[in-house]
Amino acid sequence: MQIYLPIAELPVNFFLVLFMGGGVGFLSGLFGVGGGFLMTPLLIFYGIPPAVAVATEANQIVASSVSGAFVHWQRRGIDFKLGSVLLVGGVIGSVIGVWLFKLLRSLGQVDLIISLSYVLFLGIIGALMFVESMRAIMRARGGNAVPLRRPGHHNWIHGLPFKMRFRRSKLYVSAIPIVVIGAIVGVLAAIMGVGGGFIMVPAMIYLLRMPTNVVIGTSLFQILIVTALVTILHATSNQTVDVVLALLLMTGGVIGAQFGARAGQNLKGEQLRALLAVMVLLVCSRLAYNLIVQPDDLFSIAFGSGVE
Amino acid sequence: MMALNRDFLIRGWLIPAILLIVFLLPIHSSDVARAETLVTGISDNSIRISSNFTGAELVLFGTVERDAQSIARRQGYDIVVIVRGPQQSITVREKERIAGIWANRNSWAFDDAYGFLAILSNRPLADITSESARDEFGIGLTRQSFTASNGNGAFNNEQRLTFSEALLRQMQARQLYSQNEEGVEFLSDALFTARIAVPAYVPVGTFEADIMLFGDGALLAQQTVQLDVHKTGFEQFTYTLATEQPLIYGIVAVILAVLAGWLASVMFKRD
Repeated sequence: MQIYLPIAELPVNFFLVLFMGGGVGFLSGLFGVGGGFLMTPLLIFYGIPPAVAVATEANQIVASSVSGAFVHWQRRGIDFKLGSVLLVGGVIGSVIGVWLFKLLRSLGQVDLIISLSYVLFLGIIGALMFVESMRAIMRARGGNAVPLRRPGHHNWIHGLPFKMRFRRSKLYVSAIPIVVIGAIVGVLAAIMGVGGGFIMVPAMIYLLRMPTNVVIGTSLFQILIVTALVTILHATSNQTVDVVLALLLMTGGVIGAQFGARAGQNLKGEQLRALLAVMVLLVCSRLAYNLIVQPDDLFSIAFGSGVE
Repeated sequence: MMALNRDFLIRGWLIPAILLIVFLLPIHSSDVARAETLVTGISDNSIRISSNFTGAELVLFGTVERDAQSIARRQGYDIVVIVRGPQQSITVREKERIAGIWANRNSWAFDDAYGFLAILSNRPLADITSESARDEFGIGLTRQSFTASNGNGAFNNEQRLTFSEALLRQMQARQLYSQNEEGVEFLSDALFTARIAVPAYVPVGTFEADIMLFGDGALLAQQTVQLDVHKTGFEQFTYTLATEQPLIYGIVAVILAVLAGWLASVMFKRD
């Protein structure tokens, strides 16, 4: 069954898109990740214009982060003060990101930059995750559990000025790295159509030394607000948010995530992470392949004069 | 009084009026002087894009009417149908390998290209009429004269040709441009039909179908039928909101997402 997308201006297979949303939702439930970094490339492979894929995926992430953020809020797992400082960066980052997106679009380079960003980030994250999970699996086989290196309480971050006290995170730290992290995630959300949890969570744990019980909640809070803002900014400056596509993905996504979360309970953490790493690297190499191999037709067309 | 009045009306006004209309008719319909006229119809004057739209097919039909002055055409009649979609700017870009990666480099903008172009005829265009006539009427995909400008401002005729060819190739691949030299079918000496395939990717706007009648290479008659392609219902509403009230559209999209996420968390709440 085909359904016509009013903004992407093309028909897609209703069940296939629902299934894609469900599949990525399943994986995000299974691995406890957002899934934007898998969904956006998948939509592009399917033939959705990259600009529409990115903006629409930002809209979907709003839906998928709402329930998580709500649960963590009830458990007092959100540091709203630190979250607000992150958001200052997030707002700046997403405004810059959407502006950059529009500029790149008029130069005809947006598809390239989206692909390059994905290859770069998926490559790094996938490789790091793969190495880490392989070590964990070897350790488990060896039988001797190596104790986790306890992070020290101070690093270079703590020498920066503009220090603020965050009571819930039990932190006294400079606002600068928090704003910078927020801004980077904002730019990534606008250009790649991801929540950015894969950057933010490690940064919060390893750079800011936040306690893990507020990391997920606070990052979900930031993701929710930033992707909502990115959705509105893309809608106003690029007109690339396709509500019909977003609703299809949301429906598939929330159902898939439920099954994924249940299936994840029966699997070992390190094996799950190794599996996810392999998948991330597969998507990465597929995108890299498209960039490196000579296309069948060197020419492409775009509607509109380019300079908007 | 009454009789006088009626008499006045008939003699003094009505008859000259009729004479005037009859006198004016040939001027309005120049085909009469050429002896052949075209009578055409189209299956649908508007294509509505709704949520289940996957493309459409238009059927155009017509007949060649002859009168006493019509002379016999040695080669019979030929019909050329040109359907043109709304004009829009289309940018063509060429990829080059830069540091091992294929990236867009040169670009040409075709500012008044048609969003849709279908050229149909009953036999090869070259057999129907002369090259100069084909150029004049834009008969043939390669005979369009779009305004082209190079992204760098430099003018290079050879490059322009390469990019024009790329434009035609890409639009043909999307089924937005087509040329079918067997697309018009004569059912009798005078009766013809043409089927025009409209793909799902069709742009919205006003379309014009030009139906041209040729005989022995000369244009005998011409008719233009207008049709429009528009989104309808929910598609129309969504598209209009997104383009005319983008801020409201964006906010609505966010609210929908929040509701969907909240609904899911209520539905799948764990005990």
